[in-house]
Amino acid sequence: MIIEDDKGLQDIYTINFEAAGYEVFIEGDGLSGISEVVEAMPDVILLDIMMPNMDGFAFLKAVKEHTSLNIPVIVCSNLSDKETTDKALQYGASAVLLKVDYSGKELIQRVEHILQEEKAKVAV
Amino acid sequence: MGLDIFYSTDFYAVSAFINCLTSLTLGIIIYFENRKHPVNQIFALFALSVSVWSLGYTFWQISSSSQMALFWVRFFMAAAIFTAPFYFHFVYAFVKKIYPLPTIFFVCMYGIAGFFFLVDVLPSLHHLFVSHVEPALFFPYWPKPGVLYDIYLGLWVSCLLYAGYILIKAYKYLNNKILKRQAVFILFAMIIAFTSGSTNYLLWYGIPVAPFANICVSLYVLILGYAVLKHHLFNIKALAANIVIMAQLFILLLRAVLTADTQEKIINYTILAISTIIGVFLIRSLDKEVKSRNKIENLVKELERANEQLQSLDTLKSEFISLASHQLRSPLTVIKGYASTLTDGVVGELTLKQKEIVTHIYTSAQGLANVVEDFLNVTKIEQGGMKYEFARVDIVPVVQDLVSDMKIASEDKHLTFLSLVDAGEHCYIQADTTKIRQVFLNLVDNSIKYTKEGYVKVTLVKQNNKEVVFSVADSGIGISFDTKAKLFTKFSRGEGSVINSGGSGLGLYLAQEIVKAHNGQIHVTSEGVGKGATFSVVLPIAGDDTQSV
Repeated sequence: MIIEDDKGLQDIYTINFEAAGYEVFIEGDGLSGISEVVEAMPDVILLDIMMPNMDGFAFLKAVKEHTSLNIPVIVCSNLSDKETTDKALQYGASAVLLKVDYSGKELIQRVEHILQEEKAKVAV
Repeated sequence: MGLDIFYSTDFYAVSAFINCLTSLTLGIIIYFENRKHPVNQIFALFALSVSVWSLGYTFWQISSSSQMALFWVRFFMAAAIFTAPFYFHFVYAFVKKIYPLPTIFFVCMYGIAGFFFLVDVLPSLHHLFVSHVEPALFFPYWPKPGVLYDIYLGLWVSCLLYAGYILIKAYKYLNNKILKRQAVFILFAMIIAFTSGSTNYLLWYGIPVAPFANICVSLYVLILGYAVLKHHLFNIKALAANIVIMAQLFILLLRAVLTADTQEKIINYTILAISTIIGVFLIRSLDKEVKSRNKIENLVKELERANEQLQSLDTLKSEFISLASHQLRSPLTVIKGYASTLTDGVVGELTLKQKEIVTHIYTSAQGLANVVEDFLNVTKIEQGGMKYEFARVDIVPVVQDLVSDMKIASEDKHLTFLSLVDAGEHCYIQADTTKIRQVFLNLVDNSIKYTKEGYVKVTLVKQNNKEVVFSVADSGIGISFDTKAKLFTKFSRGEGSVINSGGSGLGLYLAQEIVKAHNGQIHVTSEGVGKGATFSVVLPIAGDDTQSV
């Protein structure tokens, strides 16, 4: 599931992830993400931070604190300050990525790598 | 003995005299504490009325005839009439902004008080207020009320009750903790005044109870004074010191005047003169200290305010920079995303020319993203906001990893890429891995960028087991002597400025700042233009590193 308010990025992520064989659910903000996540039950959530209605932090907090869902959440934001990274990790994000650093292909590779690491952690 | 003291008129005389002195002293202190403030002015008037009332009370208690006693009763009643209106006015001045009353109210209040005052002092009317004195309990001359006294007493009680009412009503609207506490003190003082003061009126109406609690009037004035001055404790200390000095001088003067012996008189006057001089100096220096303290306190407050403003401005600035870089990166992410989607062939294969064009778009967007990153980092450094996460890091794998990454880029330019990692299996330094890697990457990237042909050589060597040196040497365009001097300043470019390198001119400045933060040094050597260059970063090895070569 991709929670991202930028239409261009929604398009780019959808094209690339679908081409890589993934089923993609797109949500435009944290609030619609919250209402859809239980039904969609995605394998991973890519989450933007600065969004209308409900920002990424509020979504992350709600998913990690108020649900029994154990879905890895990868924060993809263009905010690079330490406070954002620390807060996201503290709220339970699996990783924090700077969007501008990744091409479509690189992002998919990075996400797959993170998911493998998560699985390895669970196995341990 | 024991309780006998309460059955002697001397006790009531002394207690009233104590009331008189405490009221007068506090009235004076509070008035001079801030002569211009209405709360202080009204309080001083109230304290004066209590003081005059107590003075009359004292003389009444020691009167030797009924005529004299009646005179002093009428004297103290003249002052007692004003205690309630002044108290009310004092409470009103305290809560004025919250509970406004029309001026006519005060005209009526003081008008009525004035009327009773006239009735009390005019010989033709005074029997209507205090009719006569007669023995009651152990008091030889206790007053009896006249026909108008009941009305006066009713109004007096109403006035105090109304003061209590507006104080309670205004309490919840007082927005300051100190004011709230003062309001409680004022109310508490009023309750004490009621209880203690009312014991005086019982005998007036034939109830055989002596005014035991009259001494508590002192307490009531003390509580009020404390409440008013709580906020300005230091000033009151200085004023109290002034009063003590004045009192000492007064006693010395009395001694000098009352001494009969000439020799002793001379000595006393000399002591008085010296004490006066010292006293004047003391008072002056105290005043000066109070003034300078007040000045310093005000300055401190102003500084605190300025500091708060600066801090909020700084936060705003950081938030703005963070937001601005976010907004700049967002469109670049989309450009890069679409470009890479095209070049990766996700939406179909491109022709070679098309691929070349889109790759240019991607590279340019990436270049711009790097510039944004550099600007953000420079701003962070200049604001002191660059955060480092130092840890004990093995630098060898960091460099090896970097070498394998950059080898591809140099081979794309048909350059010979050499690497010599001669620091042993492990070499530990205290570093922020991400940032120090960024420095190394920047240096290697620069070498590749500014070398058209030949080689790029990366080495990592230890020096005396104390330092580790990372260096990048190339056979590139080299650096002139003039350029070398300003190479690590902001917005400077190497000889390659003729080439459109797409950099921000901030890379080496940032590298230098980051290396400095790692207690290291960065320097460059070059034999001149066209003769290549070597950039070296020297970093201290972590103290307890024993594993080497």
